[in-house]
Amino acid sequence: MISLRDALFEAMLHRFYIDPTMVAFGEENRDWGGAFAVYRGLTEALPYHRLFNTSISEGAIVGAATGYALSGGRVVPELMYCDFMGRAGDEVFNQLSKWQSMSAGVLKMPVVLRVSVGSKYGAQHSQDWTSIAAHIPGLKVYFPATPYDAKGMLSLALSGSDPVVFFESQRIYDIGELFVKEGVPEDYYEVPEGEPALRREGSDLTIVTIGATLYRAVEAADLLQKNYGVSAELIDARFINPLNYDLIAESVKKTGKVLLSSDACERGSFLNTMAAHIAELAFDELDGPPVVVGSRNWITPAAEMEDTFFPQAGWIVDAVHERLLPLPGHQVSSDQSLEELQRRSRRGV
Amino acid sequence: MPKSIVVDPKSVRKSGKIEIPPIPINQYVSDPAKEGKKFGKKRLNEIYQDMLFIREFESMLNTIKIQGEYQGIAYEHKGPAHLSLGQESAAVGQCVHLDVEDFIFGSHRSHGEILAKCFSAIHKLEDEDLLRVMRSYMNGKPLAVLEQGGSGNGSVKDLAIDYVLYGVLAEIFGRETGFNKGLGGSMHAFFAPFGSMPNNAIVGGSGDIAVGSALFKRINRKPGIVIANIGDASSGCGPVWEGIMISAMEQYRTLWPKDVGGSPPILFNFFNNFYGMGGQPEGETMGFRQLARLGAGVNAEAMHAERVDGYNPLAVADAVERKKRILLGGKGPVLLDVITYRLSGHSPSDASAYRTKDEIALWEKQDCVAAFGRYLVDNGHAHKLARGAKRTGGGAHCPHSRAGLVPGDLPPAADRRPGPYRRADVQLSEDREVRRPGTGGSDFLRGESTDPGQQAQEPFRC
Repeated sequence: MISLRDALFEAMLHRFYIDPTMVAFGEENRDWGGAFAVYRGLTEALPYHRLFNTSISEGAIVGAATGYALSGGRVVPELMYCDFMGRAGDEVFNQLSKWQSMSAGVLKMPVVLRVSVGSKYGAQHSQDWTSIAAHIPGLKVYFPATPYDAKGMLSLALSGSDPVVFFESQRIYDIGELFVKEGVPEDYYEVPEGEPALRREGSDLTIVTIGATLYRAVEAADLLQKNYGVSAELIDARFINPLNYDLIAESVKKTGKVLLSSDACERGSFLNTMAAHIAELAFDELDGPPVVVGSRNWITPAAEMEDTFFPQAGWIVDAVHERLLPLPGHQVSSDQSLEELQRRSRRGV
Repeated sequence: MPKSIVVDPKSVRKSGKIEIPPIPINQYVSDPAKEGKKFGKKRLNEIYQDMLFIREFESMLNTIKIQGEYQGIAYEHKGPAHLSLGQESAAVGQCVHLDVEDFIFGSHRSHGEILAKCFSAIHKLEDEDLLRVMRSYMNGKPLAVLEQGGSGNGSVKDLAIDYVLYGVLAEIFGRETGFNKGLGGSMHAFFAPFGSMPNNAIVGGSGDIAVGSALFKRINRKPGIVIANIGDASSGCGPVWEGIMISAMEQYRTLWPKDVGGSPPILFNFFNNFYGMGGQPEGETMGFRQLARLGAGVNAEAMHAERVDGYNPLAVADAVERKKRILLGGKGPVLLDVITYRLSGHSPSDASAYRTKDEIALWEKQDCVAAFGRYLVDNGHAHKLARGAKRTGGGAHCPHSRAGLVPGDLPPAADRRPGPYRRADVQLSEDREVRRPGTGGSDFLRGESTDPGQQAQEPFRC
């Protein structure tokens, strides 16, 4: 069974073949296959000057990639954890994102910045910072959650001339393809840019996710169907920028109810931008406002307490019950009420 | 982490001492006869002319900011202008031995560097190459403005000088016919065809970007060196240190294939004018006392570091010539501490309240442009001592009029123009043709073929 990490490997290997300028670097990229073994096997295939380890210099990892790309080469820098984007803040947000604009198109920026979203590693190693990347103009932001998408979206990113912040979730590097029946194609293919993926058809409400939260949403959809006969339509956004709202709007116009969930902290989450746009696009058909279920606005706690922080299947069901569609006989185990939303906002937590 | 690098307790626990090589300070000795023979009269006068143009250009901007007019033409420049008056010799000296394929990256104070690099290219390129560049860049739009105004007196070199002066000034003034369509402005302007690469408003921003460019040249076997022109105060910035660290990695010489050529050809060139945002590095905000010392902490050859007298353009030229050889030989990185001084404030709104008039007067007395002019005259090298750029070359170069300070002479500022030109169009290039199929073949370790249909390694599949 081909896993998500294998799918990424295939996309990388293909582009290494067809683009002689392509190089990849970061911390622990060579010799050990990378911190999450995505590059396992590349050390034996590639000479040093195409795949090498840098010093612990996140800023210069992204800065050097910026200079390499604007000089005419394709480059895949890696920041082991997306939490480390802070260490490369200027390079990501003021350099990588802006040189195409500031040069009026004289320069291109074929950079795919691979970062991973952690879990179980605590406050500084488990954050989902997709919202921060979404906010700064000039960056494309992708977040595949399946092996098929991982290969197709990395291939897409590697085929273009624009900077892509490419998020991967550490939770699912081992996962196999559960949605596309034919599995991951051996040949080259790309996922169409900006298009969310319909994971499951449904009729009573729409659930939209970004990242690995997809699998908890699947759990929630199963619970809703089994215990309450509620049929949820599941959409995996997979793209944050650019993003085509057509499929999502169509779905919400059909169901009249929408809930969005991801592992990013709720405050300032990109899900809120999506919710606002969906509300405008499908206002007439909506029975109620879009509901956002994000992570608590806290630091990520230790692994033992993660289920109090990240969205759980139970939270999604509770939120449906509380804000969208009362479920007969349902007992909530978390507080998804509007009063709680206001309390948290007042306290700033 | 190759297993081949063994950490042997016997050797790491041995006692000893680290020797730091001496770092030269201002060692250049002027020898006018030798210099005359080495450069020739023409080249020496070109150096002087280049400095004059930069002096006039920066003075013009200063006048416009402070008085709202220049030579009787009223103009309001709303944007920034960090001027390098006094630093001309350091910028021009650097470019004397640089070719078009040598890249310079700069800072917010880099107008003089852009001009120096472009002038250097103009002096070296053939007329047909100059015309080709000007005709093709941005579909010839900046050139069209010059040709309308009847520029150059038939001389391609003069036209090219006008072209560069115009393109940079129009960029500073946010015009669509500027070298970056007005989207870069004073602090980000650059002209890639002549090797003038992005200038950065973020202090030290070029410190790691330039390293990536040098890696590109090294890895892809491209000619030339890369220079990061940054200020002395940027030595406090993380990105600069991280860029230095990545440039100095031992693996380039110990683990990489020999034929790749060694360390990336990067020169960290600190234009040391003794002032930085908010503080004076020497004596106040840094501990090095003399910036060249920083090389000592990086590698065994102390980054071949030297302090160079930037007030003598030939001293700078000499340093760059020697360091370029080192870099092309794969023995980089190099650090240069080029001392210079800005006579103007940080920007025209800066009244220089943080330094005494006496200090500024000391440097004015040693003004690098006037000093080099006297050197030419004293040693019989001068064509004739012109007073300003307006008088050189037959008075053909008048950047102010070319830049359309005359209202209505130019298209409106980039953003306001309706129609096809929109800022959003350049934010994402969406260039799917940037695929570069492996015409030369991609470097691989295993398998002879780089044909995608014949992979060297089986992908993991069950």
